[in-house]
Amino acid sequence: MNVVVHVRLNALLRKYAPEGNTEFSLHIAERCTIEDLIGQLGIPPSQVGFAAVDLKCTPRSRVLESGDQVTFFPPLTGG
Amino acid sequence: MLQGYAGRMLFVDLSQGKIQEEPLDAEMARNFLGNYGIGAKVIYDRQKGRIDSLGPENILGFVTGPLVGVRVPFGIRTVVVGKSPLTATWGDTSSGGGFARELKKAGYDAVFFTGISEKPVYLWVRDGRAELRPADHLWGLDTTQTEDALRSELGDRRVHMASIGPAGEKCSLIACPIIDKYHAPGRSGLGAVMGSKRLKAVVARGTQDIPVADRESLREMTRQAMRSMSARIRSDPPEITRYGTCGGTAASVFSGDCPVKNWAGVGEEMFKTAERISDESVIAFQVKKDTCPGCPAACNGIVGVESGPYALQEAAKPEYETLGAFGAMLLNDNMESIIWCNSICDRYGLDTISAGCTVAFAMECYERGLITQREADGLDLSWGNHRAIVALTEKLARREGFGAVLADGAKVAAERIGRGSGVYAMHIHGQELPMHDPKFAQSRGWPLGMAYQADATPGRHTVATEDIGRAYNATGMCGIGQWSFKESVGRDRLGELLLAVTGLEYSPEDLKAVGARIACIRQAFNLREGLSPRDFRLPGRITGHPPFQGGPLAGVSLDMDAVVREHFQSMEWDPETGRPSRDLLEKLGGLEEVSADLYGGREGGG
Repeated sequence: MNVVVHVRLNALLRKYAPEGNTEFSLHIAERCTIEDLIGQLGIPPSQVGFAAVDLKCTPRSRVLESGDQVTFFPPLTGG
Repeated sequence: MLQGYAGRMLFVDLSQGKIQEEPLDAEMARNFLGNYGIGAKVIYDRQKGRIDSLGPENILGFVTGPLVGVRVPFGIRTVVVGKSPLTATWGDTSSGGGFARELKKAGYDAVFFTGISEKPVYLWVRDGRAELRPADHLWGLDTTQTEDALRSELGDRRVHMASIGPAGEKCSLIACPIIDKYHAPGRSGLGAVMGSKRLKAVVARGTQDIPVADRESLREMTRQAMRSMSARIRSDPPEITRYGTCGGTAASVFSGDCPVKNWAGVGEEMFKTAERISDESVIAFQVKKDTCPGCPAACNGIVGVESGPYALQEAAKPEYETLGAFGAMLLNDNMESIIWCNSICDRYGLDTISAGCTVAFAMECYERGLITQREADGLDLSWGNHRAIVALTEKLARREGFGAVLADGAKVAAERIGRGSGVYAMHIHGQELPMHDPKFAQSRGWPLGMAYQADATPGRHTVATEDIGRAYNATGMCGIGQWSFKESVGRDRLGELLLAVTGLEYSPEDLKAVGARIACIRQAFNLREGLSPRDFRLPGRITGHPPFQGGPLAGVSLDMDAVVREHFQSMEWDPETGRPSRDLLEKLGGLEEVSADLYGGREGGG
């Protein structure tokens, strides 16, 4: 089965964008979790504040499905 | 002579036009360090309780700390202190910029004002001399115009200053001084106190070296700290040097940290376009970096808008709090309009948190039919209508039309509007809440609900929640500096830094005692005002009563009674009255006046 997700990298995480594209589609393995995807993208896990699927906060253990839009955000800041 | 301090304080009686100098008391400096510690001690001892915040008796202070002006990175904070006209409590608020360093190098650790001047004045402090000068010609100018005029008048581009704009002059309760055009000690409404005193500005220029105990050790420690702190800041997310505080705005909205739609909304459902007011979307308008003196982080920036209705050449890059208050809280994703509103607030001298939140209150009133378009001067206050947001903010700043109803914050606006609108005014004891949801914070181990409700200055997110943090704040080191110092040099090494600067040994326990004294004396100030912990209560909407039905914080609510009680117990304060115990006051020492007021023995203590 071919699982394709749409990925968006936010703020500083953009530097991990393949070929400079901060929004891209990606083929992933079946049963791939968000945690696995972070590893596949080469992002140090500590640099991800949280992930959202369709802009909803989602645990990293979530198994991704084809068509999911996954957005990665940096840790929170605030002044 | 005291090391690490200028060693003198100024006391200015504006009614009499008299200026007096006093030596900085060494024991007070030892016990309270500086900034809001010394500010609270001076004001507590010299001011009676229950005075009018906008009357002549209210003492207004600008205070520095021992790490300011001694070439310690991040040692730049100016704290402004006094009784808050917004909350009728103890008020303190701090900011960056170059004013604190300049005041100290001009020879003074602090300057305090009493009385009311007959005519507008400004204070000019230069290398050990201070004089009051007429400011009639400046009255009515905004803060940018005031700074430009004073730099020209004094013939020195290197002066630094704190000034008020028209909002402070008109005693808006959400007015603040502005430092060096773009830095706002925003909270507590202390700009209104300046306005009530007809004090337009405090201007400083100094060239004196501050004596330090061990210059060589300080140089070496600073070198090490700069190296590791700079590396830490550059390498770790969030990259403060690129974004400042705006880098995580979208993350805050979608995680539930940042409030949305006057605290009633869920970001992931209602404000899906938050990325338009976050990180790169903000930096896209940056024309140059900006920084406080000697700072390796350079978190500030100058932005410009090239064309369109919000075109402007130069304004401060909006901070996270401003993006939340004028963006997420209003469902406004128009970045240019937020830059414009930020500039209005800087120029008129308004706190962006309170101003944005008050506009949010007005929008909710409009949505619920409590105010009509006609009452709102014809503005369509629908959520996200950036043209109306800008127009209303300008009216608020000028205290014109419907803006006059809003000019003193959401609480007073609700009292003026009536019709049951008070339940939509999101404030605690008059102060609008910052852009961090305490329900979210609690889940991350950050006791923000406690800080909002139980700190002596209610509704603040930058107050320390532990004694050691209060000691850090009292040194004059900024929050980003504190974070990087703790992470890269070591949380418990503040004492070594202070030893090199002051020559005084501070063990970790000593520093905790400094923080505890500061907490006690600020709390005692409120008790002397006749305030009780029962007077402070966060709105149920903010504490999750009822809880959100969806989003990351669905079902979450806070038991604030328990939170406050536990905090008081941990502080050795009475869990019901918030009164510091006599044993604690005696153990800490340096709080004899507080002990006498709370437990008897001081005559005329107010």
